[in-house]
Formats: sequence, structure tokens, C-alpha cells
Amino acid sequence: MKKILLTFLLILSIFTLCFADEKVSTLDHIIKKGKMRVGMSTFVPWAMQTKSGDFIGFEIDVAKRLAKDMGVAVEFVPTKWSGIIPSLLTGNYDIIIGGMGITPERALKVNFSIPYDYSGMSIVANKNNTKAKSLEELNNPNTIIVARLGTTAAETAKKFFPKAKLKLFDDEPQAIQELLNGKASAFISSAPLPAFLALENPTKLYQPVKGTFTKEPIGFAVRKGDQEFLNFLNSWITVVSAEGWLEERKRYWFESKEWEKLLK
Amino acid sequence: MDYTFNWHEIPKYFVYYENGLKIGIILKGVIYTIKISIIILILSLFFGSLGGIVMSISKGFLKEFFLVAVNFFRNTPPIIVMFIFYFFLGNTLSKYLKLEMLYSSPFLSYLISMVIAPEQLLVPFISASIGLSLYEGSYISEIIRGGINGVSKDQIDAGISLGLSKFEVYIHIVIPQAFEKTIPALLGQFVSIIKNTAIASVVAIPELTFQSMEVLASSRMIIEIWVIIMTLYFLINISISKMIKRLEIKVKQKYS
Repeated sequence: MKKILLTFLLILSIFTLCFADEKVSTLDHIIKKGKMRVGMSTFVPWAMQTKSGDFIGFEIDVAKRLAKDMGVAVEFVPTKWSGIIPSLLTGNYDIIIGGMGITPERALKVNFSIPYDYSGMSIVANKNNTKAKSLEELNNPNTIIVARLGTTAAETAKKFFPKAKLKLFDDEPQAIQELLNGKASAFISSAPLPAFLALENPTKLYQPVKGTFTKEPIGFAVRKGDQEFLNFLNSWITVVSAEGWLEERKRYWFESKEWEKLLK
Repeated sequence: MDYTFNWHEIPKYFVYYENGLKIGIILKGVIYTIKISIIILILSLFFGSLGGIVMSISKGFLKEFFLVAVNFFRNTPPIIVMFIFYFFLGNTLSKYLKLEMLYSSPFLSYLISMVIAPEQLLVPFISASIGLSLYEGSYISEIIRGGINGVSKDQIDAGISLGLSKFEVYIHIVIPQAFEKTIPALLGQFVSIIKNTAIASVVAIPELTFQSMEVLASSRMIIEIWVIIMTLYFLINISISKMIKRLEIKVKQKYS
């Protein structure tokens, strides 16, 4: 028993030693390497992969433009959403550009830039399971709400529907399938996905509440304590939104469905 | 269940035509799965043989250390081992491994990208491989230990009485036989390795499971993709199992 404990302590101490960190400005690091590594996760239509494995989407456009303006190449590191912040902290990439909503809880772990986009939660429900016409009607113990693990959608579900049962999935398609199969009453996600779903399956799904019912600022996330990089990102966002470029991209990805042919 | 199948959408994820035949995203995943499985097989054979030999030959601290380590890995879920190695080892590796130097020359960069992984994936790839290799290696070490213990003590005595040292007896008599006898069991472990590489998807290694999940997230063809994943793993593993069966027969013939 003593030996097992000793070995265990040895292993633990090796691991903790690995966590001593020195601070280097990420901006300098990116310029020096000529490459910016971007953490992201598949999230229609923010970031998607085509059949050849190329990335497309709103966030991808933003990341590419940011890299171009810095004069460096861009490299995407697809990651599971539930592990996206830990991977940033361990240095697997320099920045998260993945439609990440700014929340006080996340801001304790990472630093956010000023918002470059606003998103909101939207809901879609199964006609067979509920007849609700408002959010309040969904807040009862018979409702099962599905959402993606670790997202602000999950947080919103807890806040708006404290009495309902919440089921979380690692990826969105599983959550959507659960709703389509009628095992869940409603699915919460950032707009415009729920609206798209309701349009695709008009016989089965409907939106109890049209449009978004929350407003969320979206920012870039970087490791804490890197003011220089944050300053640069904030200036960049100010310039690009003044140009109207962000608005234009947003319309392309969120209001038109022209991009769907890129996936075929 | 109410579901519209879109099987005709699937082939393009394997190969598609666009200025020449190109490899699709799922097939790329299969290649990664095979690559990481082979690397893990080699590494786990190394760790496993080391552990198995040390545990059956040596005494004292070294033996105790390996016993505890093997017990540790055998009683931990592989996904946990994977995360621990990814977050702790990965952090250290990215600090001390001089990635820019490794990838500075085009030839070396091409070679490493082909055999192991491109620059942005190297650290997760290595940490995931080492994590899984230690996990699989702990099982292999038990197989090897069984093989060594299975060689009859009379042979050791005979060797010593012929004037060989204990070291020579093990190197020339015991270990070769032990390995030969355990070959089928070892290769059987390869099937388990391939199955467990699916866990590497959680640390974003673009292997079969991860790539398929990416396709799933974009296309929402949930049942088709899961069926495809299952079929691919089954086909890979069944063909390996068949090969192992043949080898097993050969080994049996030799020892009967």
C-alpha cells in the first residue's frame, strides 16, 4: 500500500512540475513563427469542413482576414468544444476564434477581446411533444431540453428552464437527432440553426418563440495576461467593423444559404 | 423512427473528383487511424516487453515499480490516461520540443508529416500515442510475463548446468521462446489498439472517429455516418484477426 501511494505521489509530482510557465507575448510569437494557430470547433454555419477537409464558415473568414492583416499564415486546430479552453491554456493554439460567447465564468479563465459579433439563443421544439407557445410553458418537469455540452446554450437552458430536464450532448447532431426522434421536447442553440431546422422539418418541428431570446457578445479568447495581443485584437475589431466587412460576412453566412452548395 | 437516409452523399467523403481523384475526409481519417495504430503497436511492444521482462526476471525496487505502474494503467480508463498525457505531457513537450527546428527543412518536414503528423498535430499525436502505448503496454507486459513463466524451469537449469550465465540463458533460451509463443496473443492486442485509437479523437487527432464526427457535425447524416464508422472499424479489425488466426496455426504446429 505504501509503495503504491509513493509511486502515485511520484507520478503526480512529475505532472505538476510540467506546469511551471513563463510568459511570452503571443503576438511576438505569432509574428516570429509567421503562423497563427486558431482553435475552433465545428458549428454550422460558424465553422464547417467540406468533403476535402477545407474549413469554411463565418469564423473561418474572420480568422483568415485577421491572419492576413497580421501578415501571417493561419492554421486551424479543430477541437472538441468541451476541451476548447483547456487546450488554449496548455498552448495547443494561440487564440480561440469559434463564436465563443463572452461570459463572466469563462472570463475568469481566459481574456476576451471586445465583441466582434452578437449572437443569441434560439429554440426549436417538437410538435408531438409540446404545444408551448412561450418559454414559460416549456418550464415544467415534463419537458426535456437538449443542448450541446459546455456551450452558452446549456447555461441558458438552466437559467430559463430550471424545472425542465436538461440533456447535454458532446456534439450538436446527436442533440438534434434526439429532438427529431421525439425523445426531447426542445433544442436550444445559437441562432440561426434552430430556425433552419424548423424550415427543414416543417411537419415535425416549430419555433415556440421566433428569433432570439438572449443577446450574447462574441469575442476572441486568448490566454490571460497578454495585454499586448488583446490591444491589437481590439483595434483590429474596431477597424474591421467600421469598414462594414463583418456585417457583410455575417449576412452571407447567416442570412443567405448560398454557402450550402460549398458543402455538396 | 422517422429519418431520411442520404446514402448517396457518403462516397464523396471517401474519394471525389475535382481536377483529378482526391482523397476525402473520412479516408484521410482511416489513414490516420492506421498510422497511429502502428506507432502505438511499436511503442506498446517496447514498453510491454520491457515491463514483462523486468517483472519476471528482476527483484526489488525495479520490479515493484513496474508492478505498480502496470496496475496503475490497467485500472484506469484509457480515456483518462489519454487526457492526463495530453494536458500534462503535451504542455511540457510543446515547451521543450524544438518544433521549428524539426520542421525547418522541407524534406524533414515532409517526412515527419508523412510518417507521424504535420507540425500542428505533432504534440497531441505524440502525447496521445505515449498515453495509449503505456495503457496497452501494461496489458502486453502481462502477456510477455506469462510467456516467460511458461518456459519450463528445466530448460533454465539445463542451460546453467551447461555453463551459460543466467543472463545468457534468458537472452538465448527463454526470451526467444516466450516471444514466439506469445505472438498470436500480442497481435490480438493489435485489434484492441485499433479499437482504442477511437479515444484519440477526444484530443483532436484527425483519425477515423474524429473526422467522421466532423462530417456528422456539418452534414447531420447521423445514422449513415455511425454505420460507416462501425463498418470501417469492423473491416479493419476482422482482416487483422483473420491474419492472426493463420499465424496462430503456424505457431501451434511448431510447438505440437
